[in-house]
Amino acid sequence: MAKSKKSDSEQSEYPEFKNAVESRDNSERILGLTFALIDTKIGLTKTEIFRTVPGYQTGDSTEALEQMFNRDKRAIRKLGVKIEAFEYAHESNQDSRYRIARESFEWPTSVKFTAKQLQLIELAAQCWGQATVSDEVNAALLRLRALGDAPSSQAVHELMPKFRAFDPTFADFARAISERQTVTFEYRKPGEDKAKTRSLHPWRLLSVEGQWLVQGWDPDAEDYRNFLLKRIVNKRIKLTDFENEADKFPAPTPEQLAEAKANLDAFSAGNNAVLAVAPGSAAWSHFEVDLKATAENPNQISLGYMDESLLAETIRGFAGQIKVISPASLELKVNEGLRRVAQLHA
Amino acid sequence: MPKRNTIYGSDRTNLMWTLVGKILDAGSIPVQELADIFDLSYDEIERAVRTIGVTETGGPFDQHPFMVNYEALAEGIAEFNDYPLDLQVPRLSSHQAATISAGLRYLASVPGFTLVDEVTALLALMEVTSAEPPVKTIDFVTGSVDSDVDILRGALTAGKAVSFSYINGAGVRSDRVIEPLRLESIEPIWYLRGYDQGRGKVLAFRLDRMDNVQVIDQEVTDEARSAEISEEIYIANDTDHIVTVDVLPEAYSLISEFAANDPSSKQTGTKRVTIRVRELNVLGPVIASYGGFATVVAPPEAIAAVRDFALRGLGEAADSIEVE
Repeated sequence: MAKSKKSDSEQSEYPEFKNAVESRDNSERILGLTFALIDTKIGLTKTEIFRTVPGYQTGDSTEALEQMFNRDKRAIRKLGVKIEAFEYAHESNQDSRYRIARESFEWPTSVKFTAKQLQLIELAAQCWGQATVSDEVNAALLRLRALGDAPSSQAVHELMPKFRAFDPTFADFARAISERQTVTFEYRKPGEDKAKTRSLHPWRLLSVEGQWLVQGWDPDAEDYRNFLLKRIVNKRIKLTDFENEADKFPAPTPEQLAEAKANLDAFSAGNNAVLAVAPGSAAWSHFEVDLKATAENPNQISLGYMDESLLAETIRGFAGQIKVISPASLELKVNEGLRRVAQLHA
Repeated sequence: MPKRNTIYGSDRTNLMWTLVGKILDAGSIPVQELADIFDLSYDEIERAVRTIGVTETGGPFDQHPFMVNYEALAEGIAEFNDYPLDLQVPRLSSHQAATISAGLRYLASVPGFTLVDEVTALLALMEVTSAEPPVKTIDFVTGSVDSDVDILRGALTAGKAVSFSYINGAGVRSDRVIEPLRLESIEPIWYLRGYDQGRGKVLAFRLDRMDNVQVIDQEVTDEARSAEISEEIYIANDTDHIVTVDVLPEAYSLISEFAANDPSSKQTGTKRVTIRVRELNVLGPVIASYGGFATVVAPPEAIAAVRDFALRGLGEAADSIEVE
């Protein structure tokens, strides 16, 4: 959040006030643009916007105005408001027209939240903490607060669950999902030195035991794919500002989404490890061995996992306290990693 | 939390969109009430209402879509004399709805969470707000939640202290009596924030390092209740070791987990960062888990601590544990 010490004392009476506000930032121009785009039935062309919407009559070149308009559109979209761009077939100049459909802007019904519901919403928003999406969450929270029938108490909660949304690519994927943009990124599989360029129609961000992955359709492989965000080596995903529906990838059907998830579940279901754990160790507490072990093997636990390399990471954190009984490939990964660490710190 | 006096750009646009809907819905509403609802200063709200009043949409009639009653505003009341464009509070985008919904579902998954019905009702409301067909675009699969969450929630509700055995990050075990104040998670790890009478301050404990948690017959004191709980779980000390680490993208999470000092804005390749740790012994498990994607480069004793941990792990893995 930008903070400034600018004096606002001079801003008292309309209309002198107007100029003072305009110098502060672009929010007034964007407000006017939003209302103009909602107020039009047939849409506005860029030429019309530049001529009539206050804030655009700067005397600058058309190119500069277009840049300003693109920035404003981005700002509006970033706040979750959809600007439609379309062309009328009978118009000879083929200029795109822009509008915001009222039904896409407004809250659909007169929903009201009780103070208790609002408190739950605040708590849900807090789950995102300082994550990369927190701006969007805060913008959402402000709107939701307006629907409360009383201000929610800002009391400190005894319970404060938070997601881990640390990976910098999270926000880019969230945007790509909502705008249905095909993305390409560099992905390094465990055990491989070089990353490979991968394409994806991202459908969903999924946290599995605190690890975020992006799930979607791989147009090259023509199959469902899951990518762990941490293994994406370029942490800024290139996104574009396209406007045509035709440029978006097809929206996944509920059946496809269910199938993608079932696919991952089936993959994880086949993975099972057996570990022997040193009694009284930190690993013993972590895996709650005394609750999970059987009478026959009181030091052993059996656990399912999604990704062998991720489990190997956890086990390396307890090195010396855990013996991998099976699978052998897991034991190999644990030891290879430890050897690499020992060499790098020789 | 102090009220924010100035907001800019997108935050301000969002505020003004929302104020329009709220004022129209209420018909007339005190500026102070709006300030309370949105947790902003009176002046910020008043300025936003004034901006709404001067906003024009252009077009043939050059109209003001919301004509603010400035006399009422001077008396502390927000209302419009006329509003050619009648608008409701803006709905959430599907992404915003998905983020809030994911938070709600996560809450409902906490063991012992009692307001599951309320969450279900709210989830249904989140679905109707979504501008596009609602899709669970953000979802999560929780594994086994630490069984101590339930016991500690009980202690918090009852206002009783707890005793447990704790292994710290350096592997040292001790017995503790703590007055619980808050349960906090950074998925999938849960933490207890509690007051330690002996040290006279709030400490953080990882639930997965606790054993034998018991609620004891000792009330949480006023002293504990009034103690400050810091925002961050880890508080830096003057005696901390400062350690330089090279991280590859696979280990960038170390930067946020350790609130590392990261001078570069690089988004790919190796980054050199510094982290603070209370004891060098905690480095071994952390760096070893990354399996080579994070390398300590200074000081030498930190490098040695990691090497020794990895070597011990390799040497002891096969021998020291009895296998049935």
